[in-house]
Amino acid sequence: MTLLLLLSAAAWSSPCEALLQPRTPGVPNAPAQAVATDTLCLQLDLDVAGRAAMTTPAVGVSRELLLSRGQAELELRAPVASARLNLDAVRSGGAAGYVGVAGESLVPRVQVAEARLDLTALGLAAAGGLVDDLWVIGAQDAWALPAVALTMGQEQGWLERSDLGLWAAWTAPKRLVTISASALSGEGLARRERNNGQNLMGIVTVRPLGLTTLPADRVEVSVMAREGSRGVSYAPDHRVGARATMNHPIASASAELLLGWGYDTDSKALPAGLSLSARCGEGCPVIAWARVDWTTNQRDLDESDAVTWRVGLGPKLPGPTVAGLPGVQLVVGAEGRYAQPQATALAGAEAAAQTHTVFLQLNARLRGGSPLSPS
Amino acid sequence: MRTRPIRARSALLLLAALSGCSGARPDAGRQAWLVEQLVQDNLVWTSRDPALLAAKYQKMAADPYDFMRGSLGVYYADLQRTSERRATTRFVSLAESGAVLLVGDPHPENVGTFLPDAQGADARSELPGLVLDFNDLDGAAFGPWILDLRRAAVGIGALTLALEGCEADCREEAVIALAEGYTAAVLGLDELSASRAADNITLKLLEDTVEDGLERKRLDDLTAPGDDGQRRFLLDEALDDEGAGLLALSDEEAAQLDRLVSGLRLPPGARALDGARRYGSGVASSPAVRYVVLYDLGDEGDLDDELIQLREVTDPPTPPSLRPTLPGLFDSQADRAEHAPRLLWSSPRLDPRLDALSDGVMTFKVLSYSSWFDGYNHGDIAEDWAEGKIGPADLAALARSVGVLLGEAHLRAPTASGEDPGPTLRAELAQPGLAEELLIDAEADLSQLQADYAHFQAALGSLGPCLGADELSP
Repeated sequence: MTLLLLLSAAAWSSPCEALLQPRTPGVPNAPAQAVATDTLCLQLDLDVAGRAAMTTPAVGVSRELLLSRGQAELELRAPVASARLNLDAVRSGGAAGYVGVAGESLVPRVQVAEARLDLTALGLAAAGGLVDDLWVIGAQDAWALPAVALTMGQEQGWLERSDLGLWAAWTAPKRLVTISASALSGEGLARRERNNGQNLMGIVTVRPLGLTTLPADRVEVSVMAREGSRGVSYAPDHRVGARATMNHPIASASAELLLGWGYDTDSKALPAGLSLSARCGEGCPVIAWARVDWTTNQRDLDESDAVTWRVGLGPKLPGPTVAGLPGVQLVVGAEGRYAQPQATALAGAEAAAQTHTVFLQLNARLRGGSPLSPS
Repeated sequence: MRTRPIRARSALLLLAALSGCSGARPDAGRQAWLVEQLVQDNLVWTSRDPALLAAKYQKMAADPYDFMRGSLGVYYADLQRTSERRATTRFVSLAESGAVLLVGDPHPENVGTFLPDAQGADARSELPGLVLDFNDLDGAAFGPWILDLRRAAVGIGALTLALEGCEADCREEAVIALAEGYTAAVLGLDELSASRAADNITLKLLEDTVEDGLERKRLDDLTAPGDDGQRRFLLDEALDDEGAGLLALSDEEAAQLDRLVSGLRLPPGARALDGARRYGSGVASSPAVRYVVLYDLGDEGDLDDELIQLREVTDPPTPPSLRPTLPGLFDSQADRAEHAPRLLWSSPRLDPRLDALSDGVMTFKVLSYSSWFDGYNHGDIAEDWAEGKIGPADLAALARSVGVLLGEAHLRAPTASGEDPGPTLRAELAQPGLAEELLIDAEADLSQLQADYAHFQAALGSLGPCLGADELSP
């Protein structure tokens, strides 16, 4: 009850106002003002979305009501250290199984359980536990609409939202460059360690506008390389990626390229994908997005490509904003997928070559924080 | 109910430990992928009882047919892998054709005899009262109809591996017959009656079944009258070298069986007389919990004694689907275990004892366990082949029968959308080329099966009886 009362205030009172700003992954939290070292702030972030969707061709269950997003994040922040817990809702029993919890109930799953250190003066940050995959979180921030669709790498299963391990990052003055290194289990958030190998990932992000008076985050270029293995057989699971992001008050755009060697314990898989997205920014009168993903699980194989497009639109509803977007969104969207013969689950099955979905979705992402007394 | 003297789990764990549950890591590649698929498919058994899983792997390693039986999940996963090995199908072009209720694993050993209620019997078998149909529908799920045909062709191909002299021509004849049988059933062709002519393999199965049924062989083999004249199970002291046996129930198992029996739909007046845990049967599901129950109808003497089997059912491997998820008509595992057979069988009461029960998160299917319910055995077929009792024509006739059964099963059950699959299947089969496509796929699939079998044997040798998944054990 005390917690609810504290959070019900919702307004960020100083000094938490400085601490509880959204953070760029891997970038040290930089309070805009001097904050006492014993300041402690609690932040709660709820991100929930319900969707009504209709898919063609209409086979099986083609009209669905879905919980397309159900996440809760709780974080305690101090100027130097923070602890974060993120839970999402998953269908027990998986997508097709019957063996679940109390039927196939939705159950909470720990996505992130992270201890984080920020040495702002040195530009250093580090985290350990079940930590964010910094590349995935960067892609999510660039796309900004994870409740509408996961990022390309996540959706294809090439990358996972989080993993057991640790990361460290250094950010240069004026945020000109961020360099991060991660050591992760490589099994993802849903599986325990299978082998003695660790995934090593490095990311370099350059923000050339850091040299100017414009906000440094307006233009970002990142590259990533990951050496990894998966499963009891140490199947290769390597990735390289590049991403360019432009954030303007009117519109944002992003392009991401991913290449892989090995996927889901299949050492011969050669995934590749290109994702291009654009959306209305903070200054835009509506919420609107367009995204096209070109993907293949075997880039050396003919007719193995799939193209997925997405468009959507919605009014900007009044209320609090989170990360520059309205906290509450009512949107309509459409998605289409075209698969070449080798990109369908059963090679050549024309019935699976094209699917189209239209949906209506209500998103609510709200965030609030409050100071706490250290005990 | 008594406590068994030696815990099977402990004995098998010891066996596994002696065999060494660890070893060198294999190279990357197909073998590694295969190991990963098997580890993932068998995670439920790894975490529950690795000794039983080791026994399953041992059984799979001893025979390519049994390897095929234990690797349906690998087969499905392989079909979904984007690789140059995948031949494209010219079928499955209509939406509903990808949402047919599949038998799941229609290899010949999953076809067997049934003795339904008298009114449910048809004349497919030459012997009155007995009916041939699929007797293991654990893999039933919605998916593209051609998957069942391809899997049946793999099963027939695996069967031929032990038939000396049955090479490509012999297999080709059988696969063509499979396709013809399926087409005849779906299109309702006149040749269907010819397809029903029993082959020597089937005739022998039926004769043996009748003989064993009349003798109540299974009942006599597994039970014997006690001093009070009432039959009891003949329990083994311990499992044999292959991990098979009939053991007394532990207290926990006895309590579970009591709960299950209380929910059984038995005839009025029926009494459960004894129960036991059965180990070592089946392949894919061999680590699953199996109970056998002896019951009677309340009469004096043992003439009314019967056996039923309760076997744990888990989620089936997911077939390559047109959608990431293709939910169907079933509310639960128990609903699937009971109603998939009722939808696919030639009569919903093909097995009068068919039932499904849930006990917590576990689901058990209930089936008759008398000698009237028997099935093809690839070892027996190989023996008869070697003795010259059967030949390629019999094999082709068997394949045709499987094709007919499959076609009829597909026509009976509604699609995942609740639609009649008939118009879709007939439209798909109106175009030519099914046998040609199946021949190409069957040879490729069989070749891959043989390669995977060799990989599997090598992996067991290098990684140990748990395929290197020791750390995932409890």
